[in-house]
Amino acid sequence: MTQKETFTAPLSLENTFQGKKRVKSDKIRMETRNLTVHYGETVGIRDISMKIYNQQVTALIGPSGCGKTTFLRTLNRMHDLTRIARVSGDVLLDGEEIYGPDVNPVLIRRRVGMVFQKPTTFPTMSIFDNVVAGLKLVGIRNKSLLNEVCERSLRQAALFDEVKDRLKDPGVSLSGGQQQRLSIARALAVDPEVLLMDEPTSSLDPQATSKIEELIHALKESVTIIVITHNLQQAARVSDQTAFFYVGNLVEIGETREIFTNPKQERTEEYITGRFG
Amino acid sequence: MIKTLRQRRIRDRIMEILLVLSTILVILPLLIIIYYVVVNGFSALSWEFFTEELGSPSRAIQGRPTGLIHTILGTIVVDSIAVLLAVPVGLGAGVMLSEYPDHKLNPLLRVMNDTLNGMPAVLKGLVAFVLIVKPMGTFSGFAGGVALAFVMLPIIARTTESALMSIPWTIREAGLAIGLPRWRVILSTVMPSAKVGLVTGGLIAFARAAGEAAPLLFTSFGNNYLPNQWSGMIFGPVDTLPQRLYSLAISPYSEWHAMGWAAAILLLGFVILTFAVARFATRSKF
Repeated sequence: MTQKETFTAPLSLENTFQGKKRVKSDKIRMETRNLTVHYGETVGIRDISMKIYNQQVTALIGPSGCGKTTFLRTLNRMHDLTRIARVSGDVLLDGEEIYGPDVNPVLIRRRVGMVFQKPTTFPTMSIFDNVVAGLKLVGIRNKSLLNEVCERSLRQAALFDEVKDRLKDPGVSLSGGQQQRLSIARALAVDPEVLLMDEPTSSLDPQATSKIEELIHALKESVTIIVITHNLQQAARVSDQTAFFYVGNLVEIGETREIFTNPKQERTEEYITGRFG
Repeated sequence: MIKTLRQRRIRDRIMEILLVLSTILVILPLLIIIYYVVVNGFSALSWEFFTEELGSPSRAIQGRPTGLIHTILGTIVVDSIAVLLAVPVGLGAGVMLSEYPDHKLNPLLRVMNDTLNGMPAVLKGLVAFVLIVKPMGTFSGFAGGVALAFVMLPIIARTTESALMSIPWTIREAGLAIGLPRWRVILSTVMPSAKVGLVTGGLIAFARAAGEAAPLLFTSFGNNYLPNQWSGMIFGPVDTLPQRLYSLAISPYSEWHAMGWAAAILLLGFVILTFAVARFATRSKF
């Protein structure tokens, strides 16, 4: 219960860290080594090496245009769509290179899901079909399985009680905050190991935001989460590990408490104290 | 000079009047056409008109039963062939243009498509003549369908492209992010979302092709009689409404002129009906 209060009460940073476990699960879920992305001639991110730990939330912070999104999109090979983006370096998922020659990006994306800044409800589908789209559209027709997955995912996304009586309604009939949770439910339905979230609450009101933050907290037992946020308080609230990006470089990464209370780099300190960015 | 509120209001009013005026100018020609066609053609519409074939001019002159059933059926056959050929290919080209903008063949496809769109319809008939009529050794409904497909194809490709482009890119990424292959994302999320635009594009293409007479002159050729079998419409010369309308209109017989107006009513009705059916079929489920 104290956990919950921490989420909703107006926060000072000191309060935020009370009761937060300092233990670090040492199992590495994802790792990048010297990861560089070029867009044509310009460099998106340069030489990023980072470890993402199992059952932890990693927050990516930094001013706009610093490469957070570019980095996030390398982790599920979303850059494959943009021909001009060239990725070099290594990205490992459970120790395996995801940019290897024999790797099917579709299978990688089943294991590394993604939630976007704005809700991405499929406009022609019902709430139910939106949630199970990742199963139904690859040919899974088993009704009871789909029902089960739908309920589980909606519960995980804290949306089930609000929509359980109208699963056949169009997904777009939900409010913005509900649609964002619907997008999360859809990402969870395919049972990913890692969930990438690109500013998942930037278009939401404070109430919906706190729901999603609670959700992140509850989910990290089963899913490794990497979240981009411009809200530093949010990063402090939800993450175990924080990475600070600046002009395409990873300036500093460490335990969230360390980054926020005792940053090693001057840039980081300037940013989190609001002196720039 | 600072404009007074009154001056601004007058400007606003003038703009509004201009807009209403241009709206009327768009609607008016269609209303005039419909009016003339209906007034002139209505008298020739009879039961026989829908059940009899045309035959020789003497039938009409002597008041024997005559009609355009062979033209109506022929139009359905030729237009259906055109739709069956042009829709899948046009959709495919449109998907290519919109969904694979980085593909090597894309710039070539775009130039070719625009060229095909600008090419005179009569030339498309000539191409179909060389490709189909010459090797088959006969004019045919199939050749006419191919010629009309050339008319529809670039329009479908372009309207498909713009309909798909109007769907936010994030919808595609969301589909990919749950581990769907790219073709499945396009087929099951992007295209259904663009359904109304796709159908509208298809209709514009269809309406354009259904009214073309020129590409049919030396492909489906025309026929005064109903073929003995259905296959005769596909593999032999066959009549179509726009072309029949043209031949009736330039004929020296006033009886046929009246039938020409009636054929115009049919052609208009045919296109309007298609629009109505398609609108009904794509009405939003939600």
